[in-house]
Amino acid sequence: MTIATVTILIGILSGCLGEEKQKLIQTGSSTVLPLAIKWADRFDQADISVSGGGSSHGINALLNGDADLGDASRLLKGSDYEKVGCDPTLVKSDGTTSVACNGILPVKWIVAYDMLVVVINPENTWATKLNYTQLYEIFTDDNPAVNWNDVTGLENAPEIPIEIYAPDEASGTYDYFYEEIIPNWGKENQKAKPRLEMENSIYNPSADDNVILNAISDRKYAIGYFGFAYYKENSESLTPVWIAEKDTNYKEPALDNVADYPMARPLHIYTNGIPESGNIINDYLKYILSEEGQDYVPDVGYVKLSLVDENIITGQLKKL
Amino acid sequence: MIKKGFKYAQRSINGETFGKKKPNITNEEHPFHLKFNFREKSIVLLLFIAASIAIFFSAAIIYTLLEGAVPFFSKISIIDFLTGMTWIPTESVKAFGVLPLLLDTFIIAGGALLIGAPLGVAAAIYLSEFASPKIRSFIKPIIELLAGVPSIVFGFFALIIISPFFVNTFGANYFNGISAIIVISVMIIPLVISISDDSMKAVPNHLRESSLAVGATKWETATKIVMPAASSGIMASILLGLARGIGETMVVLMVAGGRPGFNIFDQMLTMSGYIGKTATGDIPPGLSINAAFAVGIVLFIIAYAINSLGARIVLQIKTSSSVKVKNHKKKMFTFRIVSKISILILGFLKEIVNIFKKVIRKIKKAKPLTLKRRYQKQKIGIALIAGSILFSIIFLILLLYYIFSTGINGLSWTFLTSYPAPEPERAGIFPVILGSIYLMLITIIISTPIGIGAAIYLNEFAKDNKFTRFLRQIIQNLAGVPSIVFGLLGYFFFAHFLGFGMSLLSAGLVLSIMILPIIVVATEEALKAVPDGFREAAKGVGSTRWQTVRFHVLPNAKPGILTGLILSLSRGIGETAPILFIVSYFGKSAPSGILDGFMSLPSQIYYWSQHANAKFQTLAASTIIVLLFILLAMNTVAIIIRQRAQAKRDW
Repeated sequence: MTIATVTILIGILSGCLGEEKQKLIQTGSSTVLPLAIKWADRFDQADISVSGGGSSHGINALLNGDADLGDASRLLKGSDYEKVGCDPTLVKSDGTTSVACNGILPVKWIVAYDMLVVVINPENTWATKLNYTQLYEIFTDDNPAVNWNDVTGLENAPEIPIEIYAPDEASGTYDYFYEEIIPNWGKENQKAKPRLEMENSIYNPSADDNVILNAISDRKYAIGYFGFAYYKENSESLTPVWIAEKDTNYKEPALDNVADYPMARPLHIYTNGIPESGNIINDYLKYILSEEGQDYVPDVGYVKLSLVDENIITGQLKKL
Repeated sequence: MIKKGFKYAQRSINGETFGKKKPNITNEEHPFHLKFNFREKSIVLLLFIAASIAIFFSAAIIYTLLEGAVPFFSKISIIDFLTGMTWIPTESVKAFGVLPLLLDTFIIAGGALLIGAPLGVAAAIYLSEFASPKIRSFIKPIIELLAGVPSIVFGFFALIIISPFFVNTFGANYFNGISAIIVISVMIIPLVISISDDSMKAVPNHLRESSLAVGATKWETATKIVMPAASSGIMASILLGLARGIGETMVVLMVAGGRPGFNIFDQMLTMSGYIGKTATGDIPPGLSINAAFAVGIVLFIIAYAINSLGARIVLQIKTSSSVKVKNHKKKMFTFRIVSKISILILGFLKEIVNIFKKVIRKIKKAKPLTLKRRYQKQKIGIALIAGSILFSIIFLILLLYYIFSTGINGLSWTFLTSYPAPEPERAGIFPVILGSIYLMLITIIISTPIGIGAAIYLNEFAKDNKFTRFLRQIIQNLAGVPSIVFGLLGYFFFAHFLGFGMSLLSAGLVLSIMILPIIVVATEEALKAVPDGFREAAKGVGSTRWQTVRFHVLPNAKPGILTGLILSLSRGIGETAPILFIVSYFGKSAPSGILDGFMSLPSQIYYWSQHANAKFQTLAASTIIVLLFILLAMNTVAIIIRQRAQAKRDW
């Protein structure tokens, strides 16, 4: 009786093995996640299972052989190689490498652009426009502003403490944000540290953009940042801050404004080597870069590659 | 029919095994000795192996933790780690002092205990001493229901209802420790109730009767006779509750925050929370990931110590008899220490109360303690402890009401039969349900033979020697391992080291190890319930030991074993933390092989509850309804099996 049951159970499990689409595992950046789910959902030739976990996790999983596709909202770094026991100097500063690590050669594909949005509570009327200097005062440990009126150049700012709700250090968004506002980020002479790394910090980190969003829409004196997609899903509960790199040349975060907006960045998928034609990963990448694949990008709140530069698509398609 | 019955009777008379061939088990040269029986020996060997696999599993856990922590301790000194007061685990700061995490763990678990323990103990007194059988049979299932709610459901409720409440009324931070404390307190109440209740039930009735006979009220008997007599059991229930609180991951992960702190209205981070964060991607790989293993070791040791102490006391109560003192001096030693400590603590508390009473008496004029006042006291007391049950019941009702009212609209045939999708309108959970079912099947296939085999070996074949006691200890210790540590085991040992990948197989193995101790305990209890007379009678007519077990003990223990299996599986299917590292969130098909990636109901709830689009939170609630329905169905089946078996039982 028991043996029969077990046989049946095994039968059920193996019975499903029949006709099969090829399976792919994609994991990594939570910023890329909604986009990856969209493509995986629409791409019919393969069964792609998608999970999140952060850019570092995505690259790490690819280098470990756990995943076929590693999502990252930042570039491959030497430290990623170092963590799996390879020479960190093999990775070039543009996030590419020509030397494989443990038999895996990470190749970078730019699949879309993301804009980073600094957001505040709708009741916040004093910080609707900020430049990099002011962001530096708010978000770094270099003589940080405690109250809103400590930030230079803000009019009618209240004498009430600033609260930060923003991504944590595992997220590519965090890395990108600080690369923008801290001079020499990641180098020996890095000018300041993120406020998150102070003791008793008012920086509340979360990998979960939804939590950040809820926190800021609930709290009048809070400020934070995340990818445009999350803002787009909930635009009525938050106010986006206009950003200027210098002085007062403020730009609104909007899809058609991507060429001028200072905080726009590419999103990547890393694969093991350039997939040969006929390989399902090759087809998948072609699909992502195709007109149909790119048409889904704005649905999720990101920017099509063609809006930034037409050559990005053609250059990458040439390799495939 | 008649012939078959006759054959069966004959077979058992001859002590024959099943099958047509009659094995020759008699030894021709020595008529009073049995021949070497290969079949029998190999079965016992298999059972022995099943029991010993637990050693391998424990070694795997320790290997995982040490292997992960070695690179960490080669860069950070162990003293800095253990005594440091700052926890900023980034590459640039490298402040890895575990004390803040440790303190937060104890603040949250201790806070939960501060609420949960008195309520639980009070409820147990009420149930054991005052409740009528009718009320008892009404409340017990509710408590069991509460105990069966998976922690992801509590986490979801905390995130959506409790935390916003503290944010809005007390101005708490968006992440706060207090919501975690409240929710975890509700989670440990059922545990405290059931163990305290058992230990108070175990107090011999003649104590109560003599107390009542000398004129004490029922209240006085309960608080001054029964409670002190059961004090070590109550202490054990509190210890196990504390261990549960310390190991809780999902609730902390969802509501408590990302940095340790000492204000319960602000963000806090426990040890299990930090390890969980490494799974959800909040922590970059490298030193800070390795730190999770170092934290895992500390967590493992603490939870293990508390749990085994508590479990040992429970064991002492169950098998308590003064005869054993000589044989188990060591065991009794720890037991005595704990009971001494608990008596000391209780005595200390009593002293404080007495001092207060004296002060109050001095202020007021001393009134003689009349019978009327004693009965008044009894009335107030019973009302209070009965009220303490209300806390859990109201909480459960609120939780179920909220989840059903939010999730019921999303439930539809399409939702149950479609695939996850980027748009909430189109998203369904078909492969997610299948993923959970497959996961369960794999868990059954792995854990059933091992768990039942181990229990049969320990209960029927093992000699009471050092190795057997060691085996028991090891299996019991597995029960004390926090669920997130199993998560580390799954990701780094099964997925990487053994190369099973982020697959159903890895997850099934992890869940199997996790529920193994529960299966062993349940099976052993079922085996013990079979009277020894059955065994002696079977042996008396010439059965071998395995024949006795196979044809006389197991058939009678079967309902009990099945019930235990189903209940432990229902525990496994609701777990999120152990598979947090390996589960996926989107897939277009159900897994088709055991090495495929998979989705599971609790993890999908976790993912959707964190989604940017609020509509996905409704879907999370709908998914919770499906999960609760499956759990309820499993529990109902278990209850039916148990009741039918009890009705059929003729001994």
